Amino acid sequence: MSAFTYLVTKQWRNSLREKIRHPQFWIGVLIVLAYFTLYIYQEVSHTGATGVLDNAIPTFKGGVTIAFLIIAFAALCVGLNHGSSFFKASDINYLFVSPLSPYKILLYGLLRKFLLSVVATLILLMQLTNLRFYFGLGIRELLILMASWILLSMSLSAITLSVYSITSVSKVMRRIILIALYLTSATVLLGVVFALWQSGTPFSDTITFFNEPHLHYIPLGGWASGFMAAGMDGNWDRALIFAGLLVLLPMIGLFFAFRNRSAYYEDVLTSIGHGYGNSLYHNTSEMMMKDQGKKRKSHLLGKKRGEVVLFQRQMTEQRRSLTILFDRGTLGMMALAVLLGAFLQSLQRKGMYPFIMEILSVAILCYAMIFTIPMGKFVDELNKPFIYLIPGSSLRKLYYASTAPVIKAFVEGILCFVIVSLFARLHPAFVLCGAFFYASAALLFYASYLASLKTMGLRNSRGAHMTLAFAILSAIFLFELSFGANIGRKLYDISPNMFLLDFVILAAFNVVVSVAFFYSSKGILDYRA
Amino acid sequence: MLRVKGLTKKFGKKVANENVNLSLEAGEIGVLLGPNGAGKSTAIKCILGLLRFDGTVKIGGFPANSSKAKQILGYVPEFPCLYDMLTVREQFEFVVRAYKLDREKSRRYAAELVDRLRLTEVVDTLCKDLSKGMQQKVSIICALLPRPKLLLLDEPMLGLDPHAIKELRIIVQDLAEEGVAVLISTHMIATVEGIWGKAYIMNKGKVVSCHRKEEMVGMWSESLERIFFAETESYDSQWRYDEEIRPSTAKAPATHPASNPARKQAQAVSRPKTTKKKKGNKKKKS
Repeated sequence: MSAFTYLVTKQWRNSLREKIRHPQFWIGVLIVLAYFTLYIYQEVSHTGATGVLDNAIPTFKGGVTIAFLIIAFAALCVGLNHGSSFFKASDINYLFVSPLSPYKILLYGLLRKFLLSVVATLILLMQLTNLRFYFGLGIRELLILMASWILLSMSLSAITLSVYSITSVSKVMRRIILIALYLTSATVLLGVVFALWQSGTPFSDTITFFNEPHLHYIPLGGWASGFMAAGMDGNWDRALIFAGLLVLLPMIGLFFAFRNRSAYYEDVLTSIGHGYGNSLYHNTSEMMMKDQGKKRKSHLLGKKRGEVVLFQRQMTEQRRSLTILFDRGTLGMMALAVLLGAFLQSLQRKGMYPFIMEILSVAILCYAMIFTIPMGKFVDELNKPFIYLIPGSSLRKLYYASTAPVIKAFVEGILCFVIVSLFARLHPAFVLCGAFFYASAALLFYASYLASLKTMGLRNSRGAHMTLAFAILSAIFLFELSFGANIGRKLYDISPNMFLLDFVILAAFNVVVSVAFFYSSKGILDYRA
Repeated sequence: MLRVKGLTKKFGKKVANENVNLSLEAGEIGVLLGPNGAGKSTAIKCILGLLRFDGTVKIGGFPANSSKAKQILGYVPEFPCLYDMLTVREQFEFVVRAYKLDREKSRRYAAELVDRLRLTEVVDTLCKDLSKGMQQKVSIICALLPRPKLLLLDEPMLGLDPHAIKELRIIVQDLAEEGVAVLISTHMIATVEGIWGKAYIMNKGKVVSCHRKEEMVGMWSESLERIFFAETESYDSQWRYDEEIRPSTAKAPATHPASNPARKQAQAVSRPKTTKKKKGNKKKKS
């Protein structure tokens, strides 16, 4: 048995042994088994009973093309900015310094990533029933979809690794490639919009428009989509050409990347970061160079003392990382607000009631905010020792630890609701009322997360905590839906504009619930796991 | 065994190592000393071929990064990142397979090292469940298993208990007697005090001076700690002296290390080139 095989098999065997000891593993296995049992039962007892959509296959293919293009763009951007994720620190210590062939080491990294992709792709099996019910897809189509996804993810990983390594000698080159990527993506997007407009396709048929064969010539995302479309149509020659392209291009990239092995190793070291001085050194030196000549304030924002320093520190960090209250999440939310506004405008033209549009915009933006909210900063705060060590009230410490993102959410809410209101011609007061609710929802999410930490303990994974927090939040939102509907109806009867007060009342309710959660979870600061 | 010539490493415009020259013969124990950020770990990573650099590095006559060089190289990293999901025994087995070693001999050698570093009770424990000190010990054994001809130790004593430090010192001395060249980068000067043969003092990315133990016998600076403080402090104060004090005052202050007669004596033995260069610079400025 070679060293690589030994490493993989032993690690997997030990991981499995570890997992078997934990009840969560068995609960997961039981859920999956129950799901498949249910699926087989449904297949046997309800044959032929499907609700296949009109134009199902083109819609499905178009949707997959959109998803693949977005994933390819996002993966390339992340990969080019952050480098390889193939290896761990232990690989550097024991593989890179060993006499094993560097090509074999890379192959090991690729195969490991490949196996992880395959395991992750198995999640698609959970959607088997839906895909069959709504799109009429069979096992063959599903296998082709999985194969195209695996090919795409592997190809993206290898390409980003290659480009990152090849350009590591010149940072300017990397920047140029990134700019070229942005420009190409913008050109493709504009081209699609223009073609859509030229073809006179109605808005509702946009997704099926992405089934156009021309889009399959877009590198990576388009090729994967082309492979899937051709495979589903049974056109295997065409499918193999796309698969070949997806394999060949990364191979060429990897060949060039490996000609300069040290550069490649250095990139891995830099991307791994933790525990490797050179990464920190690299970042620090880059930062120092960037800030040469700048006068940097060395103190925290604000002058108050006590628990408030947690808030002041977060604001100071935020100021240094970007602007004080904005980040990429804010930009994403504003982009979503523009899309939402355009959608609401079309509803408004059809004579939709403003209060329904207000509820829709608040619900959609609050839901989306959950994915852009800087939860990591709050989690980091709990991982650092300061919040446990500084003297003061636990409740106040938790409150100040979550204040900065809540203020950010409020400003973000104002901007988003201004955009939505301008498009859909909603009442100006809605901006403020909506922003209050939006900020209170952010606070509630932090409080729910804290409650989940308190319930499950700090040792569980972040994903588990987020899932429970999400469940708590969903339950509260469901309650608010009926509670708000009752109050809103009464307020609407008084005056349509009075309905806006409903958001303020619900925001106040959110704050009360959050404080209750904070209070009940404050014991978490008594110890540090 | 190790030849490093003109090693220069830059991160962007920041110079981490500048024209570093090192050499170690078989059976020699070299120590790499320097304050934080002096560039010791970066130099070691360059020697290992983990970072790209300018200059040449030869290990046993083979270029660094070649598989022949790696076959005779052992490395104890600064941070003992092991494979979490392997047991200690499996970790050793992996190294045996990676270096294609004789299994029986390696197993016996591993058992001996495990016994010497007191790891017997944890050989079947997963590496993730070990304390940092234990992980460091495992890391040391992994580096020793291939019986390297050149051993690079980056802060090897960090997290080790006094017994393990003592044992590691003995192991290093034994290896040196067997003809293994050892290069230790450390801040814990006391731990290498009795075993070093050659000391390279680094500061601000450069090798400030090189001292041989046999040349220092009987001198005030025989102690590695004294050499370290004399070299690093003098380097800084010399720089400060050149940049700030010299233009405004005619004479060097009495406290300046250069005015210390013992220091002058030490410099005459250990660092004639560097001292000349500095003097030359001063003349030019004045």
